[in-house]
Amino acid sequence: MRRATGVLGALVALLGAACGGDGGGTAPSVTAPAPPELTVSFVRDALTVEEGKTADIEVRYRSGSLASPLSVTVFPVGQGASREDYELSATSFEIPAGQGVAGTAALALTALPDNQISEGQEMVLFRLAPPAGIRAQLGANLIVTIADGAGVACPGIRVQASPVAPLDGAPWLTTSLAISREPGAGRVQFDWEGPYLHDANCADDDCREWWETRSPVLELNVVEWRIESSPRGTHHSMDIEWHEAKTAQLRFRSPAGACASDQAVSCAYTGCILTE
Amino acid sequence: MTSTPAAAAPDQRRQIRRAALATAGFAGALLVGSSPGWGYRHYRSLDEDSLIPHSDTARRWAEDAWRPGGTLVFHVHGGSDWSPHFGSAEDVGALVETAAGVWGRVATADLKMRVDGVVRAPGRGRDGLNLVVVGTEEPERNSATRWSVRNRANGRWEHVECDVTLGQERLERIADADVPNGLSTVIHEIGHCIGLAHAAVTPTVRWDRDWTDSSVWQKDPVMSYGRDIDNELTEDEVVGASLLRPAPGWLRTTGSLSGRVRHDGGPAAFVSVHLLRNSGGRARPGVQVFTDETGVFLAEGLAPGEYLLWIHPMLAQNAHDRLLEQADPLFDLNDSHEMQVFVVHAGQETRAGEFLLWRGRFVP
Repeated sequence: MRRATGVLGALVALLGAACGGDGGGTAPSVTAPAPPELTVSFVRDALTVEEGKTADIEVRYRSGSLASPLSVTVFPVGQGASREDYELSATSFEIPAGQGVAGTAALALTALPDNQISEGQEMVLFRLAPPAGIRAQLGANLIVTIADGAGVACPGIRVQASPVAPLDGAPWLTTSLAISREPGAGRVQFDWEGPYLHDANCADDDCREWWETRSPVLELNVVEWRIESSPRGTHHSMDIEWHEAKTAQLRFRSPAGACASDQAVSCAYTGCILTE
Repeated sequence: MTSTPAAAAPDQRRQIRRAALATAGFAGALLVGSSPGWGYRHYRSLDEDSLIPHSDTARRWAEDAWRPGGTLVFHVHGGSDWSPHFGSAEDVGALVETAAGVWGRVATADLKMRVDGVVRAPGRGRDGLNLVVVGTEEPERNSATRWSVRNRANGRWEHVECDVTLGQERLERIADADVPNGLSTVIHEIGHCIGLAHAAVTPTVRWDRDWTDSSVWQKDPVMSYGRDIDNELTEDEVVGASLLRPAPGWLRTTGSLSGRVRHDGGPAAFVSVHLLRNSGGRARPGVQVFTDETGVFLAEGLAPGEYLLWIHPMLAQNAHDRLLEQADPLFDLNDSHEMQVFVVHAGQETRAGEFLLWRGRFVP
């Protein structure tokens, strides 16, 4: 019964708002809703966290009269990021007992790094849930966007890629690799592991024979290569295109041992990952 | 002796491939030495050991044959049958002069050349004339034949004459004004006369027209056996020719960059080292050099500035067969480059250190 009244009250409130509030109409002949025992909402309705970083989720609350403390749950809904993509410091917070208690609670959300280095985004929706039976007014849900961060290929070498996209009208994929080198980083070479190709335009044996006298070439188009060099380091941005059925792979290597392991950037239709 | 297979049809390619395997020795009088095509970028003077000579050990023109500031004079061979693709030998002269003019426009070099009409000389041979003749013995190939003598004063071999042979079966393409790069083969042979050997091709595939135009790898050098050649010189050839015949004062404005390349089995001989220039924050094509037998490279004639290195194995082996006779380089090395930028200063040699190449290049 209480719930039915609450829904009707909300509907009336919605109608009132739609009609402009105090427009002089006749007051509805329904019972006024009971005030909520609890008002609780996220301070912000959206925030973005880069992988590897932590952001606070703040919740504002105000209670009517609570005889005992209340635990409010923060839980994820919807699709997108999975539980492996982030970590919450807690999944609930407590509102102390008392009359007219107001305050804020904060939870820490840490976006966990994965091996994706494409600047993709994953989203997760958080909802607040008071205990059952509590008459509560809830604010909007919180949308958290987890942004893929740069990967660390070697100490002082960071790499990130733009989202892999198809090239219009052609079976090619494109991305932009951003590679930064801090001043103290050791010498690191990029070793292109592929894709390599003999000339595929050969339509006859003679042509193929001709090309067999030549080494395969890198089946990769470097559209543009931008360089920024300063005392803060060197930043490269390389726009590349490659065949959609293949994987473009660039391994970071250091003859002098600057890299603990020879990690590689592998770019395919699904994106770019940093992998060993 | 060399040929240019740019944009050749398959049958032409077969012929060109056969031609490329030919050697380049010629007979001569007592003081006439052979002038084989060693590695890019210059032909060596035979008193040097390395197959990859530096510019100061490269074979140049004798001053009494082509003095500094002077003009190298060609003649068209009147005894050759230039029909039906050319109306007259004079038409050939105009075309050769156009090709020579491409080199002559290089502001950093001393490369004035002209064609002084038609002569009725016997043909190719050490006759004091730089002739342009029709090749009938091997009609599918073009070539440049350089004649050298040893300079008694310094013991160096020097060019004294160069004959350009245009294969009879190649004349149609050369004469066809509708072929966009038809002149490139003549430019190529004149480049050999100047003293340039074959350049490397660019390291990425060039054939897909669906791709966005690359601003990094724009085209292959005229002096290469590449696929994407036009009638203009790349920076690679401009620098190479300028090192052989520098314009007054130019050398002082340039610097050089050197280094060593190896693989896990030892020195990486005859691999291509491309230098990409940082032009306003964007990598642009620069010059290419080969490593020598010990994996050492030296890129000279560089404008001061920042350079990136892109290193890969020899790709168009058929353009460098003389090198392959002398060594056994690896072809399965991966392309490699480094994000460190190397700064070149005028009058200085920047030492880039050592680079390592890894094997694994294969087509699945």
